[in-house]
This record gives sequence, C-alpha cells and structure tokens, in this order.
Amino acid sequence: MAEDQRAGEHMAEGASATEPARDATQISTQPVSLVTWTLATFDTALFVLLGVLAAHASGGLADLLAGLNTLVGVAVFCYLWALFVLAVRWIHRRVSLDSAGVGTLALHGAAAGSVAGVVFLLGLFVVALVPTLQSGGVRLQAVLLVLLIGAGVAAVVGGVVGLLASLLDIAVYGLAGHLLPEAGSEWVTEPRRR
Amino acid sequence: MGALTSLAIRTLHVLAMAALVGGTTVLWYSYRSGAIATLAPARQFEWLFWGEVGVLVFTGVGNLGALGPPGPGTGWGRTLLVKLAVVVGFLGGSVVRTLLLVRASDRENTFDDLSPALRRTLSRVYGATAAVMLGIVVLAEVLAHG
Repeated sequence: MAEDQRAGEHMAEGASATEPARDATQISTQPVSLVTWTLATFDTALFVLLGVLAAHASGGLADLLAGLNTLVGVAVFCYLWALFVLAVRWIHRRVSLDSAGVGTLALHGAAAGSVAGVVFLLGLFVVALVPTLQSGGVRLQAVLLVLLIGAGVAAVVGGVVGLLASLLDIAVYGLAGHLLPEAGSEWVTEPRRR
Repeated sequence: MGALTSLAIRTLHVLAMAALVGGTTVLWYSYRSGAIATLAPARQFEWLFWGEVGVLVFTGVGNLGALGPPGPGTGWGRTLLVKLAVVVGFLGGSVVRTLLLVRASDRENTFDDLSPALRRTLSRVYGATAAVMLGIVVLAEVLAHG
C-alpha cells in the first residue's frame, strides 16, 4: 500500500512545508495505517457475519449462541480482530495493493491466514485447557495429540480464509480506484473555506 | 450480572450506531454544502467508523445470544435474515468508500481543497452510507418492537 510504504519516504524528505510535515508525522507514528485498519476490520466483521448468517439460515444460531457466555464471546471476537489486524499489517508491509500481482497478494494472504488460524487455536487452547491440565483433569499426551491435529486443521482453514479475504481486499481496492474521479476533472478555483 | 451485561452490550450497540449515523450524516451534509473542503475530517472519521463497526458486530452478536433468536421460518427470523444480508452489503459498500478516500488522499494532499468532482463523490457516498444505515435502524426497530 502506498500509505504504508510511503511512510518511510515521508520521514526522509524532512518536509519544509508545515502541512505535509504534519501529514508525514501522522502517518509514520501510527503502528497501523487506515487501509490496514479498514481491511482488517472489514475482513473480521464479514467473517463473523457470514458465520452468523449461515448459522441462522440453517436454524442453528440459537443453540450455537446459547452455549456462549457474552463476555467470553466479546473476548474471542477482540482476539480474532487483533489477529486479523496483525495479519493484514504483515501483508501490507511486504506487498503493495497498488503494484503487487494478485498471485503474490493471495499467497501472502494464505500464509498470514494459516499462521493466524494456528495462533487463534493456540490462544483458545491456552485459555481453555491450561487450568484443566493444572488440575490434572486431562492427560497431557491426549491434549498434545488433539492440539497437533487441531493446528493442522486451523492452518488449512486459516489459509483458505486468508486467501479469500486477500482476494476480496484486492477486488474492493480496485473498485475504489475505479470509482475515484479523475485528478483535476472539473477543477475550478474556489475560495478556501475556513 | 447477566442482565447487567446484556444491558451494557445493548447500550453500547445503540450508542455505536448513533455515532455512525450522526457522523456519516454530518459528513454528507458538510461535503454537500461545502462546509468541509478537505479530506482530513473524513479520514479521521473513518478510523472511528471501522472501530464502531467492530463494536457493532460483537455487540450485535451478543444481543442475539441474549435474545435467543427463533429460526428463519418465523417472521422475526426472516427479518433478521434480511438485516444480516443488508449489513453484509453495507460493509462491502463502506470498505469501497473508505478505500476511495484513501486513494484520493494518496493522490492529493489531505489538507488541500478538493476538486468539485471529488467533493460531489464524497457527498454521494456518505449520503448513501447514511441512507443504508437508516434502513438498518428501521430493521432493528422492527426486530426490537415488532
């Protein structure tokens, strides 16, 4: 993304004009760009909403939500959101939506999605199973076996989600560029409003 | 505790939606009337917008959990299905709007006056966003009060 990748260039320019300097400072001091924040939140929200939509359409939403504590649900959503932000930031720091090919972006999306899927599962395992393990309720070998199989499944599912999300992100980024009016079209000099 | 949590989640949901409808409507009117002539306010709002979207999603799902939604065969279930579909469409439109804004500010200085064509485009997209959100509010009212 131009926004992410230009941050370093802005800093090197040592801008003399006040406004561009302020702009560059705003961009370079942010750990996450607006594009990353937008696409990560969009992907997270879409992922959850499509899951809810599918569950409701199949008639199983009430049963699914009945077993979930509200605060636990909020915590899981925030954890998922944070992982999406980190994954999208990782992609955007390596490849640009402006210039990189679809294949490169999709590959990065699948890789980031796989890692995010495994980390998501590990986080849930740590929270859910560590207290049980400490109390001696479950055997460690059984947990490790389940974890190994679960990590494989989570990597595949995460990879597919990451691949689809990156393809969708490329599509909406392209559509936004298509809808943007041409530079300088219909430009007329107007007094600056303050 | 459970009732208090549900009330907090519901309140957060309503407040987040109010902030989004209010902010979007202000931007629509400001770009339309020319009261705002730069991209900077819209860029700042977009940060808030997507944060609020995240809040709306998890509070929305929390509300559904508290309500125990009936199946899609009932009138209520069908309305929920329509609302969820509209929200998915709304998210798709919103991400295009934000990226349009980002691409515009990649091209032009965030603090410079906008061309009339770009200002008109921003006015239209914020107007459309506000209109769809009002539609979602109506659907939410139908779900809450019949």
